Amino acid sequence: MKHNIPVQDYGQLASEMADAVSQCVHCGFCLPACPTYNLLHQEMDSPRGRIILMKSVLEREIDLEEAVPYIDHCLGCLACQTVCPSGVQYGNLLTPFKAYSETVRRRPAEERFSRWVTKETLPKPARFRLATQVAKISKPFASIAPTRFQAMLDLVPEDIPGAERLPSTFPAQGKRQAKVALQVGCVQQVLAQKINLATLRVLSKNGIEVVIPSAQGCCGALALHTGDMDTAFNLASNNLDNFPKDVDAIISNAAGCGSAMHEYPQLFKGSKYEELASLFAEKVIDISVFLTEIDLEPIPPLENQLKIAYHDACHLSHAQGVTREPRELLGKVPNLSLLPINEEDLCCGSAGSYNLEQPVIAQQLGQRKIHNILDVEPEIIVTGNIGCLIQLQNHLNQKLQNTDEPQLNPPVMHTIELIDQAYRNEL
Amino acid sequence: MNTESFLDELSRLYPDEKLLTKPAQLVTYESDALTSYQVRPMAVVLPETQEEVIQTVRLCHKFEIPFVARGSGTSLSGGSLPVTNGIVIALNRLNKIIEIDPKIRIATVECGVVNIDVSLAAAQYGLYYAPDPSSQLICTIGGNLAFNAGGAHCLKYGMTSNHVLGIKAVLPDGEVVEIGSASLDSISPDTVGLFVGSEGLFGIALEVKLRLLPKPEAYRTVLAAYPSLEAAGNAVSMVIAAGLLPGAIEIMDELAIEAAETAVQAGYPRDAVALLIVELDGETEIVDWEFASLMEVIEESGAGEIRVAENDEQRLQIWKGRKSAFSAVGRISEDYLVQDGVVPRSKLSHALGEIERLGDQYNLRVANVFHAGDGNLHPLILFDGRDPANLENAEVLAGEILKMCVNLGGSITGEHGVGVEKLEYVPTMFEDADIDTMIAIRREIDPGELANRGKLLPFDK
Amino acid sequence: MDNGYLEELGTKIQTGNNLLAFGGQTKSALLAKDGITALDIGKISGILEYLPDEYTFTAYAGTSLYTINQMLAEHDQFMPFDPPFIERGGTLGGTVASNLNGPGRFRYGGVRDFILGVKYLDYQAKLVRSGGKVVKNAAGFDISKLMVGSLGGLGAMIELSFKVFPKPPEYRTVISRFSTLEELLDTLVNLTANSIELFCLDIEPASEVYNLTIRLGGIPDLFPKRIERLKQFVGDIEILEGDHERSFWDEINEFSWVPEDTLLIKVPITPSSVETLDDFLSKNEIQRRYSVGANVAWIAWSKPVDIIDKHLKKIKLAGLTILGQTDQIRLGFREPDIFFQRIKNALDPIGKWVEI
Repeated sequence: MKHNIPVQDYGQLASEMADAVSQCVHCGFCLPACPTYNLLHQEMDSPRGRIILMKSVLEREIDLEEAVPYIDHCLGCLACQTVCPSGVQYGNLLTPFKAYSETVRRRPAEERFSRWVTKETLPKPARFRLATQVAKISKPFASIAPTRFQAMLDLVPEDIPGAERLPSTFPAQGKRQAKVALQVGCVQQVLAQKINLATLRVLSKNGIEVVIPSAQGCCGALALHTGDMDTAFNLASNNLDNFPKDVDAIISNAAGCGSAMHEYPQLFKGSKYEELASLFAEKVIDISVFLTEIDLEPIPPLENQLKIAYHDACHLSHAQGVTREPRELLGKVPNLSLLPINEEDLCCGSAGSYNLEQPVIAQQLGQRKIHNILDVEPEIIVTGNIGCLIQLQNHLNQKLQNTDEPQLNPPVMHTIELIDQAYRNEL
Repeated sequence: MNTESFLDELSRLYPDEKLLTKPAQLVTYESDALTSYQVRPMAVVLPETQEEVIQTVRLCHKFEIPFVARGSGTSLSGGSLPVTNGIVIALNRLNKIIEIDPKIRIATVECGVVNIDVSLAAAQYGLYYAPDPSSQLICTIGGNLAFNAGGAHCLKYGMTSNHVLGIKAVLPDGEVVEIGSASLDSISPDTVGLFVGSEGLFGIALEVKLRLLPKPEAYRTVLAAYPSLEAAGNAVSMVIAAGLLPGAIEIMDELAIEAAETAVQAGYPRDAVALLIVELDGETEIVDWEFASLMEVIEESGAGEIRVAENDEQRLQIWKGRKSAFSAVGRISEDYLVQDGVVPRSKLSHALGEIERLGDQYNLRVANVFHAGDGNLHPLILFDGRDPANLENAEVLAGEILKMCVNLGGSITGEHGVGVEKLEYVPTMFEDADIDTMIAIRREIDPGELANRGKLLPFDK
Repeated sequence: MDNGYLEELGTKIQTGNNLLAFGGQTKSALLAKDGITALDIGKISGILEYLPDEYTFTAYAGTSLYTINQMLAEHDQFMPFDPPFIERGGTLGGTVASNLNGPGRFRYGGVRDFILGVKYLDYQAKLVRSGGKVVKNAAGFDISKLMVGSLGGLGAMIELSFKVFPKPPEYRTVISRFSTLEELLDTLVNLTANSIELFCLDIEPASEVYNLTIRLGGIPDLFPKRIERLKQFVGDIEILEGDHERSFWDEINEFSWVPEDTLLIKVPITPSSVETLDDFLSKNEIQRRYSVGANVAWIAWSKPVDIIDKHLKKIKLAGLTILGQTDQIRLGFREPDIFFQRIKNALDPIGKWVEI
């Protein structure tokens, strides 16, 4: 598609934005894949519509403030990128556009405050832990809170585990196959340290030595995807400095973090970190992919047949193109079968901090997803991302609360937790 | 007429967020899948009920405001290009599947229902909706009907027109009519046949009765690579001469293969200069027998690599590649024009040679993906839209190709319709008397030329 | 065709009124009556183009179906809509104007599905073209389809282009008996939801039983297996083949089962409406067939015509008399067709052609 974007006015990433626009032929093949288009059925809430909006804003044809609500509706799930026949790198347009728009847009006070709260807590484990404790106490008052805060409170799990520190290294059992570094995720450390512990056990069992750099910080995903480029830059460069260079891989077990770390080369384009960022990103690998690439220790057969549903986290499937490997990995558990779910490419509505910023859409998508999952009656729900995990659990709980009918209540867990439990005969 | 009072009444009809008037909203409706044309409408409405559509059309009639009905905006001929000072009626929320009647094998659906959703809903009865345009995952039945959409399986199954039995429509003056019936036979003039493909000039189809067919129990999909388009074209003639009636016969050239393969990894042989796709479908015994004779023909036809889809997944992947081909060409060129001319099947090789020659003459690259079984060409003319001279050249070349199709005894459009894009080529195909007759019909139905003005026939008020 | 004759027709159109084109005069009920200016199109006959490789032909409207069939047979092709009255001398134009299809329509579709283009003389005697000669075409309003079933009310067709298909090398016919229509219809519905390729699917009410007659087409080697499969649906069967089989369907398509002194009435139906109609017809002991998978009823009506007219009105069905002498050609339930009236106004603004 032709455009008149004055590329020289928009700095480092302008050419990538312009390329994405040029690549789009407006064929509409992205529409059925887009969660918001599925709900709202209007062009502004479709990927090609947003491309037109961003293009027109950059061309100064339309007012940013008018366009921005529709850009904000975008979950950034990148399902459109997976289906796009023309190869439009939608993410290459969206992320820099958000960065640009953050520098010029106006936001109402309530929104500014909640975004500030998100930014200042989620990526900082200690603060986040404190905030969740406060939120837990506030839960009974959720009904009187504004929608935005209600959504935040809703998402806080009923029971928040106590702080459990991870060791700085975790030795390999048996013959050492490789040495890796683990990225532990901020939200995950607070809400589900057990995912990290499961990861360590499974890796170790397979002869992988793991280092957990203590100075690592947030990956910067949240800042990156909300357009806060300065914060993202600082957080990411901290990781570049603090992750060891002598490891075979940098393991991620949170899809959102893994995806963001793959974006480091784009973030640091033109800076002194550019080369380092590329080397780093090349090593970043999701735990499910890593485990399919090594000689996996045989997993003992399950006592009974187990039927599970696997939910694709968008930041794994669409952003990193990882759909086959988690299924292959789960398939290595004898007596386990995977149930195909309807609309498996559709986002669950979690999408980083999206369920905090767009609670209405997130709510609808969450309900739809849990409906599709329960439809196939799984005994366990498995996914590869903490955000999805919380969203699914939350909507499962809601469903249970809102009905007197007998209702399925399968446990929701991370892929690696299932593998870990299978090794330990706990399933 | 008074636009302000029109908008005022319109806003009373659409009190909530279903009326769009802000530039940021309108800009996203400026084009369909033909982006070289853009027109910003005065407003867009998003009706959710048939009654809202009827009231909207009546309001437009009262104020003489032109309207454009729009489905998913996938037209390649600018069929849903808005009109300046007119409104767009976006029908995507009018998407109820009203009934699937397995006994008489009919689906009754609203116009905003997506093509593939009809088949998905009919699947529980072992039935499906046969027309399968490449955009079937998103294009709507209303748009298919307006432009008599085709697809890969037209040779055996026909076009949209052959699958529509009844239409409930609102005419441009707000009158609501029902034509056709649930029976396959009729004792009245075939007004349904006239309505289908009228490019929105007769108003808006609200509800459509579609014929469903039993899903073929067997498919055999064969890929064959050829050293030239001519060789692939000859293979098509051989298949036809063998008395076979495949569900689909498609050809793609090098550029298209490369683009589609990059886009979806369809499993096409990359070194082929031309790729032939033949699909047999139907009753197992018959398909097995036909497959044996097809393979004999293909082996004699000078094919290089031959691949047969071994399962449904591989078959769907082959089609995914084919159906993504237009958009995939976006990978090799930022801008392109898709043409849709038809030539007699036996003149395919000649036509392709001419296209190549014309491409060289205008110094433009042309990719070819086409429904070989129907002689329906889809040359994709690649150009650089930032260079006005380049666009102009592409348009001239497109015109030359269309004229060639007509000269060979064919048509300017097989399935995309005239829209705005081929408007100036209608007289190459029709005489004055033919066009006058169409204008007479149009004026009788819509004297104010309010419905989809400027498509198919020139606006000459 | 000589242009002189076209001019002659032109003069007739300009000077005459209540115009009606005719060809082989095979549909006796639809022929010209008093006060009508008849245009003999039967004189304009001949094949203009036949391209077997293209699956298309173009012929003058007055060309006999017989001639076309002979021509197609030489290349193992056929008109899949299976037009009736071939032996009686039916023409291509007449088939289009009256929208008559034979039982074979079941497999691939009717006249409307195979017509590609038309040239006709309009109310000003201008030659107007719509559609084309190629198998796929989406340019312009499809007036050729509108001509299907127009009964001469919109113009005089001169030239017609059609799509054809390869003809199956052989046929077999399978007949099974059912004690009730209801039982038969259950079977029919099951059968049609399956992808078994049936060329004809007719219902023949006989004394005390209903026969389901199924015609299969294809390679002889495959018939035994396919018929075995059919048996799973229809139970016990009688099989016809060879000349016997051919003449069985030819006779049906010539309507030789319709007695001389009765009216042949065509009533479009569906598998859902056939039972109500059959109740009435069986009580009146009327000869009838239901063809094309119960989508059309052919009725040999021997009683006063207003009886069936009234009954069809009651059960909301409409009929058209094809054969016989009567003033009541249109029967039963008919709603004003506003859309068609407006099309008619456009194509015949001064009311030159017969009212239909």
